[in-house]
Amino acid sequence: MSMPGDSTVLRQTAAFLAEYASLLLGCGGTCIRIEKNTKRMAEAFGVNLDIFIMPDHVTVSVWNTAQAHAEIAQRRTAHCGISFDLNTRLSQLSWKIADNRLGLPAAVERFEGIKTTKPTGKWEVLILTSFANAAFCRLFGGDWFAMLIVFVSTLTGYRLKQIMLEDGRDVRLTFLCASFFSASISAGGHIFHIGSTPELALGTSVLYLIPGVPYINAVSDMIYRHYLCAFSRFFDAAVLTACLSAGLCAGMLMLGLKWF
Amino acid sequence: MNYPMITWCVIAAVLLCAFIFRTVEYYTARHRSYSCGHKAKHLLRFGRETDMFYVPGDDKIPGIADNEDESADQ
Repeated sequence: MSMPGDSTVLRQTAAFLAEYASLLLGCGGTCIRIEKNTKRMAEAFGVNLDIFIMPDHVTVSVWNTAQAHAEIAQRRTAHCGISFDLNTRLSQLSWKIADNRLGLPAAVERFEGIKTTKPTGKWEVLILTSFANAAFCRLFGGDWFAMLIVFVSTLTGYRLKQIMLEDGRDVRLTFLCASFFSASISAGGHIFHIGSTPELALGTSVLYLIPGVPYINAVSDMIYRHYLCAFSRFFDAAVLTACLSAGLCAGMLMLGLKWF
Repeated sequence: MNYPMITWCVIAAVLLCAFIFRTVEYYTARHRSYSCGHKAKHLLRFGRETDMFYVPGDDKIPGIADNEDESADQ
């Protein structure tokens, strides 16, 4: 029977934990969540663990309780896009391993199952995002016409974003184009004198592009002193915000809306 | 119609054309993949520099041309 201190078992444990951490980092987990989850699982496996998280890589060091042997595994961050579903399932897996004392083979099997989780349907996301953005417009005081304009502009802009990302276009160019077209379409309310709050429709039409999760994660990482990850996430989000601002301004300039 | 109205109509038309073009491309690709049994290619796409400078008779670059052939067969 293999024991946690065996070299092969240690290597397999390190590889599993590194894969787990890279996927959790890729799907939008914060550094503190990754640390807690991996340490919880390492304790259940009966090994000691140290983890080193960088924006593009995760390094996991696992050693036995006698500190006689150690194994290191490094994995590149998975580029799977932010997914709350994946994030939740991975956290649940760590608790199942800790509470039920699952062995490594059972944990790997469940992990492989989680990796095949399908993302939410694109049409579903498209429709719900459009409704959410229209609701944002209402929250800021927009009337029903403004909400309708925001719904349509979000629908077109978000669909454009999906198409460009499916084609593998640069994410910054995608944000710029999506914000430009969303802002331009929503400016129709002002140009054709539809409704009483066209300026709110224009202002809220690009809100769906704000990268909120990276901003929140950056703050969380900063609080827990993961400064490199925090700055990486913050600047990634800031660049995307700058791109969407440029698209918004370009749309307003082209349509001759000199409000500022 | 004044200048902003014309600009707005042009922008909306461009976006509409993009969506229509994409839909046509999607259905054409699906129809081809059903009838020919292999993955159809985009009507417009970015090429690699190896596509531009490749001369028949040149050695194939390992890992690029071979992979493409394999993926096309699937």
